[in-house]
Amino acid sequence: MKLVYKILFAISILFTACSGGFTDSETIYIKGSDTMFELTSNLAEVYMKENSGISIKVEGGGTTEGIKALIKNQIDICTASRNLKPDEAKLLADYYGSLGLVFLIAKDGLSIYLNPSNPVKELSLSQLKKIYTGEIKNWKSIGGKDSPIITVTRNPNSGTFLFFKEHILEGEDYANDKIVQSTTNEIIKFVAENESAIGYGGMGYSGNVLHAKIEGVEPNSENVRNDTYPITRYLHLFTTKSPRGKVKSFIDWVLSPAGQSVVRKSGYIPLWENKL
Amino acid sequence: MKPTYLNILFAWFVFNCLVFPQTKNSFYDAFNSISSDEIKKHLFVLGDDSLEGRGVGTKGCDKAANYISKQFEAYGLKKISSENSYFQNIPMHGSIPLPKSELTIISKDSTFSISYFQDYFLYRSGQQTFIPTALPIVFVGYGIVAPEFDYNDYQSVNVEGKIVVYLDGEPYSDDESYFDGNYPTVYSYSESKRRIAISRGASGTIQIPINNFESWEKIQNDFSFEDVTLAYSVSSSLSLLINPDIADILFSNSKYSFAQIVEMNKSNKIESFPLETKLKFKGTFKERDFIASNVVGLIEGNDNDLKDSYLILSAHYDHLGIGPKIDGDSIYNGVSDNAIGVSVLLELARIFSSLTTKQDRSIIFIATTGEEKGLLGSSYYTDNPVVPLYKTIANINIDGVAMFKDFKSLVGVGGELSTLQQYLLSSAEKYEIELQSIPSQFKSVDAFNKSDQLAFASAGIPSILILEGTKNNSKTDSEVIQSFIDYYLNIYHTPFDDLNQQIDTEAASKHAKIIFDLAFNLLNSKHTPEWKEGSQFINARLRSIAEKK
Repeated sequence: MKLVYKILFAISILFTACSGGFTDSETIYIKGSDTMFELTSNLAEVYMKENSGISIKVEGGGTTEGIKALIKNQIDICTASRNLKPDEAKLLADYYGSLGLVFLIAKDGLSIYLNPSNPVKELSLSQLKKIYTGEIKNWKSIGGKDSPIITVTRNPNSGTFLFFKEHILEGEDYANDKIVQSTTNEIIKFVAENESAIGYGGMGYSGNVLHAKIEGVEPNSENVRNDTYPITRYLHLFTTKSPRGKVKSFIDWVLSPAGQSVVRKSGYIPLWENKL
Repeated sequence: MKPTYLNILFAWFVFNCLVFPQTKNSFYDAFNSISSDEIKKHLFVLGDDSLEGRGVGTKGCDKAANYISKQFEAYGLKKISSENSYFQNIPMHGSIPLPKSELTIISKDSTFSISYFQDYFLYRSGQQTFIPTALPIVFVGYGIVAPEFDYNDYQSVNVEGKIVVYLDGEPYSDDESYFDGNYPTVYSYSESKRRIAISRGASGTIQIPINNFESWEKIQNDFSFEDVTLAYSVSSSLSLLINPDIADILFSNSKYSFAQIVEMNKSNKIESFPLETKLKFKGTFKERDFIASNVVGLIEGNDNDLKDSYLILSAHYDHLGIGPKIDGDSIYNGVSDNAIGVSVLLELARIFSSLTTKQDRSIIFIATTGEEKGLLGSSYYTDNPVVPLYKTIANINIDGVAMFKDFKSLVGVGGELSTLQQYLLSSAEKYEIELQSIPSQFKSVDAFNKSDQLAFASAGIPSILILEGTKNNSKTDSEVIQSFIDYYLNIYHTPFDDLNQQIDTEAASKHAKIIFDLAFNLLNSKHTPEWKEGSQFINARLRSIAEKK
């Protein structure tokens, strides 16, 4: 046997997503992104109805907490609104000899929430960055009322917090005077109650807030699907290894027309619903 | 009694029944009816400009899939995919970087903005590659950690949260026990280097091609196509390929210049060290999600004990699609790669379905998609098989066929890893065809790891790719070798792999006959191919048997 084949095998064991075993229990444990909590709960609910022997437990807590739980082997699937960070990938490689598998399950537009009474109805990416880094502090300077801007963010554990920091703030820090809320629903509630507030979160969330146009583009399904709306991202499921058994069946279903239909009903953009 | 026409015919029938069992009789009829005209008919559909090069996720590729499925239907193949059609639908994701992407290299005294296409490419495109904050860069030799060779480029440097830069290739040696001597090991693959870097905590990778480097223009051509993955993939990160002409920027003010690195590479004395530069990348991408399809059809076996075991015949039907224009042509038709292989697959489907007697085992025909993007269709199939992997006795993959009808030797690529080699030898000998090993000029091509047979083998299925050898009745070895080299240099993955080139469908039908004989024997043998002791694929086979997967 040529040595190269031995090496290939060694590499496949070390760094590819080789298959491994999950517990035989009929429960699937899912934890992670708060943004995805509602979506994952909906998926779990419909799936459990169609598969009576399976129980799915869904927890939020943020993408970072989900990935920690995944690395500790406490859950089967981590939901994530961002990709793995380098240190997380290294931990997976250290503990599992695998870089993990990432599944794309939906697309999401990140909406910028404004109070409906705010005369500002649209923003540019540059204005958004300046507002959240503290360079623009008053609505007046961008055509609004003379009123200090109250920036609201998710907590730093959230994948949305990190996505916004990387893609909108281009890696710069948030201004220190931001208001931190744990969930998207809390952000929406805060913005709805404060005329000078601005927040961000999933496009699928509703409430008494205005979803601002960004660079003149409205956040709607079509604009997110065709990448016209400038703040879009994929939502993911992570597993440590190639899933098998009940976990594989669930993920296969999520990617199927039935699962993608639940994605659409939950306010997100299905990736393959119309084409299967 | 004077013999009449009917008497003679009857006598001939009785003679045949006595001499050959019924299946043999069917076999020779079928064997002789393998038709170069049928192969040509399919080839002129699949290789036509109207299919626009069959790029995965395009209308041309869908048209090809529809054409294949219609042939399967006409031949009476059974539908076995879960959607009750010939299509096994595969969710895929495509991404292509836009020119407004910004890559900046920052040294102590300067900032360099370098341009996509002109100066660098991305191995993997998409959101996972976004690095808006400048990160330190570390040079890590060839980017290899190979304990079996006592070799570790990461031994003396910390790369966590940093970008690593490495050269292509691997340490050079004439000693076969060290990185396989003159032949490349898996460590020379870009994907291996990327995964080693990610597993070490690196935030991104940059490969500088100098060892296997023809020209940046060639790379520009190769990287001009959309990056496509399955809906699921191994975690990734920013991974760049940088033009060696500008690589010195990365080494500004550092311990060694790039020119010194080139010299170290030549003398096999590479050293890892941190660079005095940083890098940031703001990518802008056009992304899309789509469904592509493998086309799968079955002919059931007849033996009660054996029909629940399966032979897979496969050929990929996708090619590159539309790409950079060369001499006014932008359609990469992929006639040799692999419209001809699919044409042979279809002809074999027709022939097997025409057999009057069913075979003992069942046979599955799969026209795979996404091969050109990294064996996507075959990998998806082995993750989602339509019949259990452990009941799948072998895979014969068809990716390219013989060029010359006078060929008198074949290469069973990967056959040496399993007993498939004996089956192929037995088939070839009947037709006075020799088996030879891969000619030394092409060993570095590493053919087994470059097409769908690798995905099937990695799932534990004994697999083989049958290629034309260099022995020929009307040409010398060196003439044949030169033709192969000319093909790889001038035709392969260019718009010139189209219907205007000389295609010998007689050679294709002769190639098809060998595959037919081999497949026929495998389908009717009481024995099944086995991996040879020591093969790296045995464990996957044992696992699938144990798990009844």
